[in-house]
Amino acid sequence: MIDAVSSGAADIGFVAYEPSRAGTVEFSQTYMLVQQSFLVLDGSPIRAVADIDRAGQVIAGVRNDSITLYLKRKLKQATLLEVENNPAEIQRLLTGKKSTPLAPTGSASRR
Amino acid sequence: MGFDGKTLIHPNQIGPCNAAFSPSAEEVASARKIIAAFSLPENKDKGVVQLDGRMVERLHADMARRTVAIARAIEERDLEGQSVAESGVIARLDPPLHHPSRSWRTMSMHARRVRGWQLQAGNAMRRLWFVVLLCSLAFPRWASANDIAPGGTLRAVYLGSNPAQAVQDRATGAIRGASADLARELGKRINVPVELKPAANPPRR
Repeated sequence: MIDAVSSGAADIGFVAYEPSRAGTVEFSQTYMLVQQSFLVLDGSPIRAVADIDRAGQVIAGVRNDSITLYLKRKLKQATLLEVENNPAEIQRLLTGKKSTPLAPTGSASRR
Repeated sequence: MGFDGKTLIHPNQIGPCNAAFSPSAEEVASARKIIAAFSLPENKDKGVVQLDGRMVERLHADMARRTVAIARAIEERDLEGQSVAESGVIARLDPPLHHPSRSWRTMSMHARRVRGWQLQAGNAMRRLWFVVLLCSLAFPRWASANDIAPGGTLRAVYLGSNPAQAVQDRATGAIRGASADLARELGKRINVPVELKPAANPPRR
């Protein structure tokens, strides 16, 4: 998105606010807030957002997505696993043998 | 749509416009609450807080301060009534409402011109200029089609995988959503056609 605008392929783009993008992007005032959810399996020990940042937990997030960039800054104990935005892959990570309990769903659209 | 004022051509428009553009009592109360929340020592370094079950970010505190500053300017204008109008509403906005793209120096030139007009116009006209002034504060600059869409068409991209931005109807190809609305509105204002395209997911880096 940002590349499309900076290369001149597009005139404007819609991108979530992210401090690391300020400078590259001239953000407007906030026009939309999108609440994010963590996706967990039924049997997951994670019941609340407060349970997220625990040692040994792996959280999957879409690469370069604003919420992933946010988690990268905020997570102290849990490990962040950056994945491509591929629903099948995210499902495999959640249900597969790998202990990858979570993925933030969607992406933020506030800017 | 993010406007703080509009230009008027008739004094009859002043009342409705002041009503529409003035922050409501609820908005001001909520703005004060947000400012108070971020002023708490425990929230000093926080970027986000929970307020009445809602997520509130530090940038909302900035917006809230602006809302309160506007409400205060209006309140002072109403309190002082005639004398404010006589001395020029500009004085009531001193210090100026913070706006990064609009310096007080520029405002002062406005002030001088408005003052000249005020001497000739009635009280109603003075109130009108208050709205016009808010308007000039609200717009960072008068952007033109050449600045935004040098090719003569506004080419807007949104994140195709994010339905919160916009969704494309598979059958008709029509694109609906907040990003689509914003792009079309911008196109309308700068008077150029809009070409809306979904962009791919964030690139791999």
